[in-house]
Amino acid sequence: MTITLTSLDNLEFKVDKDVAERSVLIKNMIEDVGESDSPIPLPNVTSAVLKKVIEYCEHHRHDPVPVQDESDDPRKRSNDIEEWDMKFMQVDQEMLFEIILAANYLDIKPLLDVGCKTVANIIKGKTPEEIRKVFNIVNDFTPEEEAQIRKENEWAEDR
Amino acid sequence: MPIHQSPTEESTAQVPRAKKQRIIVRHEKSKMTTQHVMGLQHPLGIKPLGNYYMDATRPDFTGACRSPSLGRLSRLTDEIILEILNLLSPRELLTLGATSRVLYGLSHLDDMWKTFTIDWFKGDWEWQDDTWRATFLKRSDPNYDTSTILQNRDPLKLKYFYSDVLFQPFYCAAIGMDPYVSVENIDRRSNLGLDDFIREYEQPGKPVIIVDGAKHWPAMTKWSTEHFLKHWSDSVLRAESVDMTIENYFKYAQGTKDESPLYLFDKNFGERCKGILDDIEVPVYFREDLFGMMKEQRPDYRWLIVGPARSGSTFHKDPNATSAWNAVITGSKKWIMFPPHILPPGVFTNEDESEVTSPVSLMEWFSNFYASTQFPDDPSLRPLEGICREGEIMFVPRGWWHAVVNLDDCIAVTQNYVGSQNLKETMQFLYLKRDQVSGVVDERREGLYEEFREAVFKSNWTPDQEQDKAEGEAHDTKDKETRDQDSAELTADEIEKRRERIALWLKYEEEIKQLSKAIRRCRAGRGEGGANLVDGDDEPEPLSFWERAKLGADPKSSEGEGEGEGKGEVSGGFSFGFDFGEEEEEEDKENQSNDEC
Repeated sequence: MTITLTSLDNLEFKVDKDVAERSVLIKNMIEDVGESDSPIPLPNVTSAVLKKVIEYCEHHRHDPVPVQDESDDPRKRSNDIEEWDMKFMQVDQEMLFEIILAANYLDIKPLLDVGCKTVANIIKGKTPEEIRKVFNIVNDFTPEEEAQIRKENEWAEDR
Repeated sequence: MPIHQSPTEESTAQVPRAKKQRIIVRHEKSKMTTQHVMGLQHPLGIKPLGNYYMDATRPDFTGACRSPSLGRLSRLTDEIILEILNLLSPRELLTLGATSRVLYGLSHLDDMWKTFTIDWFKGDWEWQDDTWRATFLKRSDPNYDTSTILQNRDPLKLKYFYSDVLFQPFYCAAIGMDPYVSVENIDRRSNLGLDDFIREYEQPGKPVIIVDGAKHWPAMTKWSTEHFLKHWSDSVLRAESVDMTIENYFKYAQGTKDESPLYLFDKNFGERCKGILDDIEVPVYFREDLFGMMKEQRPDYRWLIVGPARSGSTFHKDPNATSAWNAVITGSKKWIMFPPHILPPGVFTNEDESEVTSPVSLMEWFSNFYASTQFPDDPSLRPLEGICREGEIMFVPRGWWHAVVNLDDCIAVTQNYVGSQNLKETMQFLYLKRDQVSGVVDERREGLYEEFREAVFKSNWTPDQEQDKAEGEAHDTKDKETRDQDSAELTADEIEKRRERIALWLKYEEEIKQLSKAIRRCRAGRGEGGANLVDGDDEPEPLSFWERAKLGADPKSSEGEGEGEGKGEVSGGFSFGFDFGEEEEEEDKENQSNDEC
């Protein structure tokens, strides 16, 4: 069965039902509405982003449904992104954030996770100045405050 | 968050019987404006969104809703930013905090540092200042100077950062419990005779506060923080997921500002705190405890509970359909309870109640959902609430939903037990819900029913023997006569009691087996895809005792449920003004498919 999704800019995308249902939001909509040919509007997602999201869902269509399991590791890792996903996420920052927001809105947890991990990996290993550059963050500390924070960060993990 | 609709109202005339209403209340985020939070200063300077709309109209306002000191990250929602922060290591979080004021503030959110502390050190840490961050950094680097954190706090407080997501937990904790403690509709009894207790409360399954329950315990005069630190300072007890010394726990409890403080809840205190059992005793109402027949093999049954204000338990039902009593020695607890067949708002569960989730913390629950519980005009539709104070004991009947909050520093003792009044419920639970059995190692769950059975049939045990053992030598309040017969033959009276007990067991067992067969027939008739299946389950689950009560289990109905299971015969059924039979109008797929049998 095919589902039609309509983006913010009114472009229609036809996808297989099982692909569309990787989004829990869409899955619930389909369940509520039942069998219907009318397209599902996604006013929060532009066509460029929706295209990427669909690409992700199609690649992962056979993945087992993620289990809500918070018991084991409260601290998630960010070094376990599979290769295809890594390449998939090699987009400019704006698109990266848009994908993350779309995954959040559409409730596609694995995609949201990959997105967050990608951003975390951008942050890792960088100095404060490098982080600022990457995200266009304004340094709004006074020089005295910066010195104070440097002092506060004098932590050497004893491990 | 679940989707919300405004409350539906029955527009017609008075309904003679109380109907179970599903009340869904709009999540009131907009409540958090300056008016409500006047004087409440978030330690990091975070303000609720509502304040932005007010502040922005001031002529001297130079900020923005979500400061440019987030850069392009401001495109993301606060929840997403938090998710990303949760992926960073301590070092990376510190570095991120050096980039801008807002990120400095975000990197100080204490919950992340709590996770680090427990992950890295379990319970082996000493509470530092008033944050997990200071505690973690000091524990992981003994040379670390935590005073810089305190020095920087005020100057680096955020001036313009608005976020409901980040403000809400602080708000809930800061408001405290004052708005929620006025309702007291649980019976309070003193000089309660044992027979009266059984007849008025235990048999029908109705909560009661026994105000003189623990009055004479030595613990009442002896126990205090100082007493614990003096005698058992190094005893290691369980606090949620970690083991820690009493000394370290008290340091934490006294210094923490956590919205949901770590709660000390230990089942081994009897062995780990020398002499502590001499200070308490099982009240006379609860001495018939049939699990006691299993002796050391019995499931976990008694806990020492210690916690500061705001610590507590979110809604749950006690394990194995047991009943419980909870005695407060110092401090006080707020209780809120719903009967077994009424799911509290904000609590979600699957068909057989094997999984219970509450997406919010205890304090958030009160802030978001308490008001809706007071909504119905009919008092029988509202929860039972009360405060249990020093020397008082709460009786929690089997199957009741309950949530408990400490209103101040509190030390309490609780036990779960199986008496004749709830024997059938527990038997049925162990028999039909083997995978939900708790209090024993995993391997024993499947066979706990049979183990229990064996213990009951073989045992020479009498209730008084068990009590004697539990108390040790101290404060014996029962008959000297009975005590003398500990190791002797049973009296004729005791033999008769035992015979009765076994007969009762056999009777219940037969009924449960009939029920089990009927359930299987019913499901087989419906086919494998019956509506009772929990998502993702391969095997059909038998209906819980309470599910059947919800359906108004009538032995003669076409549902084909077990024989001899009329409502009146069920020893655990609780009416309280509710008509069990009236629930069919709700979207109850269970019912529809049952009708097909």
